[in-house]
Amino acid sequence: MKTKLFALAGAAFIALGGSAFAQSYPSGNIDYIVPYPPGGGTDVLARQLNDQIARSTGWNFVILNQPGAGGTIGMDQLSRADGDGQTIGMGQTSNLAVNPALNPEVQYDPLADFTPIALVNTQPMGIITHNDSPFADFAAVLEAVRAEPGSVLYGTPGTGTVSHMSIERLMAQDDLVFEHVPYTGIAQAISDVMGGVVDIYVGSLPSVMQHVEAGNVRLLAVTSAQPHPLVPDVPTVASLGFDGYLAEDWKAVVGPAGMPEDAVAALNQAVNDALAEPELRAALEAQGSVVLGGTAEEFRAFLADEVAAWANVVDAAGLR
Amino acid sequence: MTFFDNILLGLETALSLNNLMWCFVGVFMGTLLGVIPGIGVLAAISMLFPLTFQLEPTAALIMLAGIWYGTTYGGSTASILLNVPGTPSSAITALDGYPMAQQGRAGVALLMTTFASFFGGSVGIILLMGFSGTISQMALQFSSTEYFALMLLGLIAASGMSNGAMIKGLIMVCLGVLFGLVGSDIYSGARRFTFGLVELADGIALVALALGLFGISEVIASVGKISAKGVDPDAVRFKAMKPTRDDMRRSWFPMLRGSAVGSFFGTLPGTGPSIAAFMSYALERRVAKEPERFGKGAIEGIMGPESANNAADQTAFIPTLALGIPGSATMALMLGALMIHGIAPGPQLMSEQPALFWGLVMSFWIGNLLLLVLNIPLIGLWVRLLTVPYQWLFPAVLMFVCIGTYSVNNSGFDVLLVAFFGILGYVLRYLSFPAAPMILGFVLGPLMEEHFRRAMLLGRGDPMTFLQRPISASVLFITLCLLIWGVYSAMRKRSAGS
Repeated sequence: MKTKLFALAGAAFIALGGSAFAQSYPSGNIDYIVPYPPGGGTDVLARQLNDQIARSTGWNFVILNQPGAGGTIGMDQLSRADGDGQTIGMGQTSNLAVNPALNPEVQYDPLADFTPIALVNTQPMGIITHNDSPFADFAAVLEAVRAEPGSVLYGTPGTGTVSHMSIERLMAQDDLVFEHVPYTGIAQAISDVMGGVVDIYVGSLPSVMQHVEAGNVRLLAVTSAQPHPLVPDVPTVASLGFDGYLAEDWKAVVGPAGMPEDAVAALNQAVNDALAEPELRAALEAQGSVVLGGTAEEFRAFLADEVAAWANVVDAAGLR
Repeated sequence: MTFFDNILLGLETALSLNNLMWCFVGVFMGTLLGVIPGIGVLAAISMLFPLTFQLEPTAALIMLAGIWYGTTYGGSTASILLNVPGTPSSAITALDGYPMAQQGRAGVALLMTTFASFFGGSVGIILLMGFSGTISQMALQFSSTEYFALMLLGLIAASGMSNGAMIKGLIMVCLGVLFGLVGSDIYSGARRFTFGLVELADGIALVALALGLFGISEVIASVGKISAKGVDPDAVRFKAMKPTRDDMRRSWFPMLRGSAVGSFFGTLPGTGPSIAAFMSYALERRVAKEPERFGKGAIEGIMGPESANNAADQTAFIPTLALGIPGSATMALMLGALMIHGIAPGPQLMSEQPALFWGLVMSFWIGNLLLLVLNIPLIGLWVRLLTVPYQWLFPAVLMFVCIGTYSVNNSGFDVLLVAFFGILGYVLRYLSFPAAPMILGFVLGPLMEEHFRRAMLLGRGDPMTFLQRPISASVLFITLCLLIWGVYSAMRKRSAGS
């Protein structure tokens, strides 16, 4: 009886050891830092993605919401975590590319202090105006600004957001002067756009789409490089004479610097596999996202481009 | 959508099993904390609202509303049984409620209070349903200029909240505004008054401020002051609750008058339930045939004020939900909680999120009904809670305060802030500065700044924009009159005193 038990225990031990050897990553729960509060856009995306990964790999993610200071508190914490692959998180345009350039109090270097793992998705900004606005299209807005600098007021969901920076980028590219009116949420902003108090409003495409679909406002342009699949007829800002113009809110999985290569590879594979699942893909596209994915190297190059581009905009606008 | 559709939509939302459960949890927890002597409504709400942050917004709001009624009701229980009111409005209930308890009629007083609350609350809810739509329709035309003027009016009116000492109220409002300005400047992104602490970049957490000012300081102030009094649980047995025919006869008109007075004062900024309850008590005394019965256990003296404060509680939601402008400290806390949930109260709320709005309104009713159902059988339990020794109760309360604060942002810094505001709150209380106007200033200050600066931007830097628009000009004029009147009456009082 006793020998049998020992044999069983031994077999179990070997089996466990064997599986641990075949799959050296992850060793236990993966802490996953979301630098925004529960229920926000980043939190929801992280949970959708992780649920999908957990279903196919059996990994266990523990989501830690660490909100504050525009997502930079959570990213700071991530940059200081052990680079063993057991702590990763979700970053995005604002806290990985814009804020490090904009805000002198941000301690981390987005390129040196993180290991890029995989891009997840991206959403462009949508530029809207009220129905009775004199601007038939975005070209007319540009014309008005060129004729009289500062004559166009644009609302955004806040200073330093991708929406705000998207117009700053436009101004940096062509010496235009728009007047910024920041809001703290979309409700009052939409009411002011509809009332013609501000001329245009820039917000993430999903956030403005419901008002466009309800017929309350008109969508003039999107800030992506290509026309967006949800609104294929709406021109991009780039197509109006701004070559290389791009202002998107992308989200990506990142880890602290110095992560082992096998962990990065395993995570990148898991993210890409999850994004290939039709169910998750459809859910993301319905929210106005373009699904990205791709290799960690592609993300590294993309991140370097974005960091440089936004630093240029911040310098040109003198915002730091 | 018609009015009736809205009500159905609201009932559908509020009666979903999930929402009903959270409503129940809110009412139960609220009563539990509200009963504890020394823990006022504001303290109880601020202690409990971190519990709602993990819920989805509708359920969270419904739970918050439940917490609110629960604490109000629990406060009345403590004042009737022990004469230790947690809030000024329940202080009035104690005037006649405690004598009734001494006469062995505690059960009757508690039961009748429940009915009066339900009745007054219902009247308020009906008015809320009727008027919110109209007001929010009107407010859709408002821009930052009008909002700034209205908020200024609210703040000035609120500083008079503190029983006449307008200067002290004003000082506290300003202090609140100053604390509200800590954090990132929304126009430039620059960090103000953060002392280089990245934890302060988003400003001081409302939960930390409210819990410190109301929770911790009330506990400190209660230490050694309140001793566990013997309460006879038998006095509130079910049998002892039956009101006499005379009680019933005397209650009807005070309830009607109280509801009317309460509904009116609830909508005015800066007045709210306490003043409504005071007014109603004064009115009942004046119309009574035998005013000498008041203060000795007259049932009219609890029925009027209790229906008045509950009606006022409900109508106070009209400006809060329809305009996004809170009229009282409690409403400021509710508004803050809404904003933490990512909901911006204002005229758009009704049209954009009708299920949330009407669900909330209907849950007010269900919450009131639950109170009725919950409290009649559970009064005995609440009474027993009063006999728990405070050396056990208060440390437990402090522990929950710390857990609650930490859980909001997973931030240890916020717990330190609670300690700071706890001490500040105690010092202010010691110097008899009212803390309630401070929280209103804290919530409204940053909003006012936002609207002021946006109005200036839209007006291309011309301050005359506030006077050129008729609505903002007239609101500013009323504010000025109020301020002059306040200063004048304070000076007259001083010269009369010297």
